[in-house]
Amino acid sequence: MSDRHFLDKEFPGIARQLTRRNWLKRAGGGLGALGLATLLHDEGLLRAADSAAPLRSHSSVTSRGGHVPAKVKSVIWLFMNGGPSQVDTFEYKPELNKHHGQELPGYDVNNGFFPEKAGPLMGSSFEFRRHGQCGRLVSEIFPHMAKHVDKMAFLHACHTESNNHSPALFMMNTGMTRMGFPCVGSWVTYGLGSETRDLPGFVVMSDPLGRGLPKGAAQNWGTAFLPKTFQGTPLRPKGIPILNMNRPEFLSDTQQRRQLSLLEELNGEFLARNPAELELEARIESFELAYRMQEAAPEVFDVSGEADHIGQLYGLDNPKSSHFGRQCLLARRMIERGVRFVQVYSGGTANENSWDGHVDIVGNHRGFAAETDLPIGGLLTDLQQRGLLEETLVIWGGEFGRLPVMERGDKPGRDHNSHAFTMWMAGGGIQGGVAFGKTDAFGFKGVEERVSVNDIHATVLHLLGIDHKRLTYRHDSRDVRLTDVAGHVVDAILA
Amino acid sequence: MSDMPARTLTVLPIWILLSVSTLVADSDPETRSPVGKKAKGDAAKQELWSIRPLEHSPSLAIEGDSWSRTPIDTFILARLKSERLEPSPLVDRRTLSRRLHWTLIGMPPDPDQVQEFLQDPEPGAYERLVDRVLASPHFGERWARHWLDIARYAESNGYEFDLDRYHAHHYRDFVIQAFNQDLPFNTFCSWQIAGDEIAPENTMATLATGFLAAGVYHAPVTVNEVEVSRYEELDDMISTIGTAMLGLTINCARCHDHKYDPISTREYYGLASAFTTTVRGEIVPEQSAEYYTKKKKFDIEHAPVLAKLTEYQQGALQEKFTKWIHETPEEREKPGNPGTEAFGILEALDEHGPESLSTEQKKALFSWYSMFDAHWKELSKEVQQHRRQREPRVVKYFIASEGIEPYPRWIQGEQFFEKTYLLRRGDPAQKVEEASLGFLTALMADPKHSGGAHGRWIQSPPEGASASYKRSAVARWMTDAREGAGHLLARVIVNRLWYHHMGRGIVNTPSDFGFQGDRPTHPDLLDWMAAELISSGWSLKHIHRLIVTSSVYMQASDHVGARASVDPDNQYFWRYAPRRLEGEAIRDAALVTAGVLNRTMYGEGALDEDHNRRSIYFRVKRSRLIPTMHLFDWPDTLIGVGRRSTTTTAPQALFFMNSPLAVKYSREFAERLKRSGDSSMVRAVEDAYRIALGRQPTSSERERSVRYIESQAESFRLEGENDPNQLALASFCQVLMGLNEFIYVR
Repeated sequence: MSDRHFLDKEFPGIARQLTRRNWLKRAGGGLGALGLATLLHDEGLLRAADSAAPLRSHSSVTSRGGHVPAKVKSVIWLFMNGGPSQVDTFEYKPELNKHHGQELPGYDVNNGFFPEKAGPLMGSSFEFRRHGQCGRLVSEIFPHMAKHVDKMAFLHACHTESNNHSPALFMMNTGMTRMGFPCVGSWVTYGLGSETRDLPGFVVMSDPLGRGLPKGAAQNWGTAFLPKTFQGTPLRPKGIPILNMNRPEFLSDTQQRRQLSLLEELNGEFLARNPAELELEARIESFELAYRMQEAAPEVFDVSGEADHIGQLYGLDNPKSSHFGRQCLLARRMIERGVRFVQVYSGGTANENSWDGHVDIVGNHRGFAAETDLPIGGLLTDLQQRGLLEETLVIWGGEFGRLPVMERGDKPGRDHNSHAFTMWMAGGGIQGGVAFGKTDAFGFKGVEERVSVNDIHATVLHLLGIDHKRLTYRHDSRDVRLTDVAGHVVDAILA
Repeated sequence: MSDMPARTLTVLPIWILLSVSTLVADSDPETRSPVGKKAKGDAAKQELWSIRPLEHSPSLAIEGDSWSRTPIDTFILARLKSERLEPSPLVDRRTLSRRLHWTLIGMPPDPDQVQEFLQDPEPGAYERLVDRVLASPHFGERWARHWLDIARYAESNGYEFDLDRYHAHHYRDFVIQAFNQDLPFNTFCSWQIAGDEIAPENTMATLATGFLAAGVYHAPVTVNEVEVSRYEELDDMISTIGTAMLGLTINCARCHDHKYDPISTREYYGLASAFTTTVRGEIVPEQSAEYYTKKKKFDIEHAPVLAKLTEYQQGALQEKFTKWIHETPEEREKPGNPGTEAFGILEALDEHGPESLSTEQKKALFSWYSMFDAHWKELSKEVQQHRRQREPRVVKYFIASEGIEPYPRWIQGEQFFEKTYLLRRGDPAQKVEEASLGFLTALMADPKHSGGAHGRWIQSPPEGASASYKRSAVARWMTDAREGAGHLLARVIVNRLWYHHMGRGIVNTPSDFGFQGDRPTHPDLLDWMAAELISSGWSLKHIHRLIVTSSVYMQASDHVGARASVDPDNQYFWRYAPRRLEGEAIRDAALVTAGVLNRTMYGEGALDEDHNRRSIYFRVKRSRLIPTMHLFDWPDTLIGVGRRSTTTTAPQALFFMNSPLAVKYSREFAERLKRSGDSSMVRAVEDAYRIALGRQPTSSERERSVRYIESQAESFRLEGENDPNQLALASFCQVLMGLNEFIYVR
């Protein structure tokens, strides 16, 4: 193996009586043995072992192929937390502007979260202009994303099952409105493993400006009943980005190496007395991996080596967008190094700190557009110029959309809309410049080509090479799926 | 049907046969356990094994058996022999003592106690040790944690706000006490379902209902979610009862008859209806005399602080406000966003002037206006702070009951409904009819006389009762070993005890005794232990004692290739299977080893990791699970977990290498070694091994360790560190606590 660890070089004599090849032979039986596969880095061997039992309940993160040819290797999900308004961003509705101020006949105020504040139809305050070869109409607040419309496939008639943030966030992340189900990033790493051993396979970035986590917090990137190996690793906004990733201050690298060598020696003696215990060797190896992660991670998070023009591309020099820009840049650096799934949240907890424009939709959306538009445009440019876009899927969207009617107040806003919202996808396997799904004249409800959250998930899995009906985990007597008992791949947007 | 055994006919409704034939068509034999796997053709003729009455198999006499110590062993030995396997020899006393402490109390033994046991030459030394350890108050802490996994225990609501339940920990304390006092298991279960009805005068019984209340509490709930969310709450209660007590996934019958197990949708809603008016909430018991003394003292101290606020509010601020509302709308500056408090009132004020406002509206506007006044905010903060810091906490209990105030939440509708309906596809919009209280027919000795349930299980509530007494009917049926579900209840719990002691269940899916779960490897032993539990008066400690004094438990853990090739998963228990400890036990062991464990029991838990109480006293907040516990496979508290996953990951290794806690524990451990006097490093290494691993180091371990400490100390010295020896010793202690041997039970 080319990447053997320093311990082997420095202490070649330590007994390693059980070779990986040997224990792989045994690993066929028993849950415990499957747990061990987590730490295996002889990927070819594991792939061979896996082909005997493809994608069955297990806990290995070693990279492996899916059911169908994959179009992309990794996913960057830009989550516009709070629910952006479709009619103020990517869905131009001239009729809505024409009927501004008129009551929507038969409108049920319970569509929104604050029924008592429901008002008449409200047109968008933003101007829409045509962009790209496809001539997409895009709101003035997204001048940078607008340059990339020919890469994007729009889904205009997405719908979800709750008009309430945390259930809708859970729905978008786990396919269920209830708490307690694994999120899509966990399912993907469960299905495909990770391409890197030096970084976690699934990373989540939330608001770094102290505005809090999305509602429902860590449940949004939890594994639920899948093994914890597939848990999303949240990057901490301040200090060391990954928990326990830095050496204690009083130890130098040499001193820590000396310490780890003693640990390996003593563990080695114990292993020599219990040579058949597979888990013991797996745990010895976990320390080697941990050391490698510790060495590799700082390089990833240090963006100072990036050229100035790259920094500008992501808006790092702009005080409004530098925080989100840095996260987008980190997302690129991570997928470049083999991280499978990266999720970046725009906005924090409280309504006014996220895209949740109940009050002053104009100011709210202008503000969050200013934070995110430039970096997302930069990300797409950068991915393309590096040839990464064709092996990456970029997803943009929130947990639901917003209503065409006004939410009354000093500065009017828009309330939640679970019936229709817009998402876009770009990257490998995606047909750029297309739009799928139609809503009514006001963007209130989908009328054609509606897309459920299960459909979105099925499509994401498909692009990664996974048949969503065959990715299952045995839990509570059932073979559970991300898409439950539903979901269709949205073929219309595939290249 | 004529070829079916007679007993099957009496317990098997026709639709079970239908669902069994679905099983044959649907199930993938590859994914099912190899143990006791049925041939396809047989399936339709079989009933679910776990619902059968207990078989009273006498323990077997095996010729030339010098291995067995308890009846348990005879069942194990018979099966080993039939598989052509031999049991392993007895483990050495030192390892046995350590194993016993791990599985019974979740902490390593004190080295002196081990010594005492090693030197006790009298017969019965081990049994005496078992009695001592079983009597330790730490026993309840260890086993309560197992039960809390099953009970999806947490101290916050979950969902968007994840509000804290500051008074939920009393349930955790109830479980600890119940296990320590060996509360009969049937009572333990009954109380958790209906303690408030069964023994209203007993605080413990009421606290037990915290079991029902422990699940998530959806909030905020919008108008169109109100009814669905109530059905979800009912589902959470009965499905947790189902998996925890009966090992049955009752919730699978919510939308359609259970695909595999004998549970119909009608029965699901019949059970759910017992909880129709059950809500979670807090009750305030009579406070102690100490509380009243403290409260009186506080009130006197608090009065002047409060007076400052009231004075300002009624004087200067009121004046300022009056002036403000009489300004013209143009000159009137709005101090802030109207929010929900002033919504509509501000508009009325602008349009129709201050005279148009009602007294209530003015009051609301004033309190809204106050919130933006800097001086008011300051004074109000002082009042809050003083209360927070000085006011004695009122003891409250977070429970489930009927007729109590539901725990507040943001909901656009009723907290609960007076009726529960049988729903089609689990959809509240498709009500079929009102559900009436009922039980699982498959777990009734005589399913035909469901009328007989009245009287035996269903009793009318006593006069003036606020509760419906439907839950106590469920409790009676659940614990009725003769006519109800009691035999399954017993099977499930003895298997859980076995699972935690042996690392593998007789049924290796401890929360699933249905068709989709594993079959028992030793059905006769399982039934024998279940019967033993019942006849002992449901004493769990009796079963614990039986298990840990059996030869099967006392076997060596050595891997034997020839036996492993026959039985690689050790399903016939030819050895004691080594395994990694849970996160709690790892941390507790570190605290014990460092000599800093704080043994205070009960009470509020901590969210901060840096405290020295046992890990069961972490506060469990659903959105902020304790990072280190989470790292070591803590359950997510959303549904009951009978068998935790055990992962081995690099982030766990990073914890041992780099975390401030690991560093802290090792420094404290090194301090402890220094205190034991002798300054020689050899002696320190020997002490460290004895304390951390319960044994002497081998000569090569001793040599390597000393050499390490010396060279590490030398490098610290070169760096000019103050106490290089101590630092080096601490870094050695950190190595010991990261060893496999430290975190494995064997």
